[in-house]
Amino acid sequence: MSKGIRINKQIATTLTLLGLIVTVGFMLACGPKLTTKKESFPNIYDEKPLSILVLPPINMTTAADAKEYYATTIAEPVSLAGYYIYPIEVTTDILKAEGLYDTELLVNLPPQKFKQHFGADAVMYIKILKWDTAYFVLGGSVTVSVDFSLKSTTTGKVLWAYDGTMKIDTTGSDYGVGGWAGMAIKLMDTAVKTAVTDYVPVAKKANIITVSSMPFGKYHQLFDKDRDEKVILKDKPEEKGK
Amino acid sequence: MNRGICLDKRIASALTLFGLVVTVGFMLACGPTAQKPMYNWGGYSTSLYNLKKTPNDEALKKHKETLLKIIEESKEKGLRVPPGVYCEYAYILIKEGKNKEALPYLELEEQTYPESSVFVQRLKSQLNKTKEGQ
Repeated sequence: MSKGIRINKQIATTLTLLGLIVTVGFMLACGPKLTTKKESFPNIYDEKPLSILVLPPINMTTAADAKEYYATTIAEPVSLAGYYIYPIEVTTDILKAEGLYDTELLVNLPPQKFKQHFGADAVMYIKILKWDTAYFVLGGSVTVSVDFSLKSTTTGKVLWAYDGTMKIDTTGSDYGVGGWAGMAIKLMDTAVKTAVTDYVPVAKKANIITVSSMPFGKYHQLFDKDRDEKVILKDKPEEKGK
Repeated sequence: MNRGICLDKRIASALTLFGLVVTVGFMLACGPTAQKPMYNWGGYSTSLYNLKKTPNDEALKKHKETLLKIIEESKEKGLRVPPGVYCEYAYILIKEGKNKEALPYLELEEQTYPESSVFVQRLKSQLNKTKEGQ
């Protein structure tokens, strides 16, 4: 009897251990793959750009106002990552005056042009992938998704590329009113909340998620010291390049 | 007995000191949260968003005030004015025909961020052109 228990214990321990190994194995295999910033974006460490020209965003959504509204959110996160960013309000006007506000014209222009005209070390292409409001029967959400690509104006290489999505639930809070009355109030509340929720705070969070993978620039105290910082692996910038 | 207490006290104070040193050490090592922020962007994105949403004189005036406030507050806090802020302020002045007022702000942008030179020079040359035209 005593021996039986002992064997059972051994089996249990072995099983537990096995379970642990399998779990850890799964976590390593199926979790997000991590690499270092240096491994992901070697070009930016080689070229060390300082000044970035952010082009008018490329709007891939059906929301006509997304382009203008989104553009108000980008200067802060890029500057806080340690880069000089040209004032978008001014550069956009200049580009417009030269007939270059149109997305396709800008994308097809060689990056080197921006070195001549602005003195920029790098040029940032931003695509707005999602700018959506969703309504459900009892809820709603706002989603903003952005895709960044930084190109060198000297070599034309992709220096850094990343994307980020932020979704904020706008479902109303529970009123503690039961039955159909409560449901009606909740429905109305969700509709109102979703309508007035500004996209801008959601866009700002999407920016933070995206820019957090960007190697720091010269004005940041961690400049060139963040090579081993971990980032979640995405497609290689070279494969993503336009 | 007396001596024992004395020793205990010494140990206690030594431990307290040790604790303090460790705490301060931790605070110094782990304190990037307590650091000075890099820039003071104030209400920049809010007033710019409002200007985009309702582009009228009132919203423009508010955004201008925000830019000026960022410049003043940054100076008070001993922070570098965020990139592009001097320049954006100067640009609004230029659009209002106040070229003379705008020039010092363009120069401040160039002094603070020498890498903006090509761009600022370009704005300055346009400024001179409009001056000649007047």
